[in-house]
Amino acid sequence: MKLKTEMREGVMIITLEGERLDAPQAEGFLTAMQNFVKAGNVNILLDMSSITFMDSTGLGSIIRSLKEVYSRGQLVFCGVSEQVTSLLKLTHLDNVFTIAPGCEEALGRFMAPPAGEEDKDKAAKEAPPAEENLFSQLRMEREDESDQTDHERRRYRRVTSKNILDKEIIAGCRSISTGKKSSGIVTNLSAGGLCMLSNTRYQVDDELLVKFNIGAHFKLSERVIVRRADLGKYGVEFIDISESARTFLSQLVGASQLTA
Amino acid sequence: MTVTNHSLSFSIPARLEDVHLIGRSINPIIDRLGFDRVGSYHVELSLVEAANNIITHAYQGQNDQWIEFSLKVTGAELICTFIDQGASYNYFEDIDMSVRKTTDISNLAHDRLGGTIICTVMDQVFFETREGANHTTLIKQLPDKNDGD
Repeated sequence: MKLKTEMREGVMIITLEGERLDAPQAEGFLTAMQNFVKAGNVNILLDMSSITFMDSTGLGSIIRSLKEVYSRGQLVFCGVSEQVTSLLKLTHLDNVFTIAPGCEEALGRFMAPPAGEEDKDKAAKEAPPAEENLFSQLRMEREDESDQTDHERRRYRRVTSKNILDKEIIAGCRSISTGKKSSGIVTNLSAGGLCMLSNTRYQVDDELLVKFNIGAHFKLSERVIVRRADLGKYGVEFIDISESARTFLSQLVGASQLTA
Repeated sequence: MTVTNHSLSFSIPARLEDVHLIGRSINPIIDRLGFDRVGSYHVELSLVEAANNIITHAYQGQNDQWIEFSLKVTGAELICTFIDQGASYNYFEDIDMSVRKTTDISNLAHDRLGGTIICTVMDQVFFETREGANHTTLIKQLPDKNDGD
């Protein structure tokens, strides 16, 4: 099997060439994927348009690839044939994989990549703010909403908090591993996750229980994992969000966009 | 290879790289039996999984062995049989049909999915060892004219 690669917007696009991803192909495919990840490519778009036959060994190689990537980035699929889609349904994986119809839509499913080298350099040059002043600085940063420029590239549509409520949305947070409690200001949110400002330092991959209210009736209490951590600004992703919360947030985002 | 109106039989080398020959041989027949594209794929997938299991478990990678295959259409059923002379191992006995419906990626199973797929797709599955040979039989009901699979 030949794999064609291309980099776009920080995403490695891998196009599988050939009709079959089956037992004879699976090992070579997995080795190639592991090498891509080892080289630092953790945001990967897999174009499977040509694949019309995949067996369980091929599927296993994809699952293992996903395991290699998921804690550090994303693996998104596009061009998945109806045959392969049916295999994912047979094995109950259709809700696990992130699948888009085409390449352009798939690129839009990627969350903003982790802070790149440029950001790291910039952060290293700037003196880190004192812990006690960080919160006020972050409140000022909120106004420029610079992270909204990534809007179209994110997996879920999101809405800024000020388009929901006149007052700030304060989230109570508790670390799953340590139990330590903290709080943050939710700056925007979607059905997939949220951004918040906090003067508590979290690390990427930290898991938290986040609670906040929107209005009098909607109370959210969900587990999240920190995907981005950048000087008190955190991007977190819901883990197994409840159906009611997902539905509410989807409708909220949709309604906000209609009325914006 | 022998082909009649209602049956076909042939042998393939017990090598993973030759298993695709099963699909090439049976697909023209499967397509005429009323299966839609996904239904045809499911039948081929099940046969490939069965052959892969024979190569991996019965022959344990010995690539100088052969697998006999036969396909027969009787009434409303498609009957596919594999015969091998490898170790007797009924992998259908170990299958957990309640494939874990987890969204936790770290807990996803990435192997031993083949038997589950076969049992999900096929209507009946039999395995027996007699006279030194293993017989794996997979039976699928033919689709109704108004029912794609």
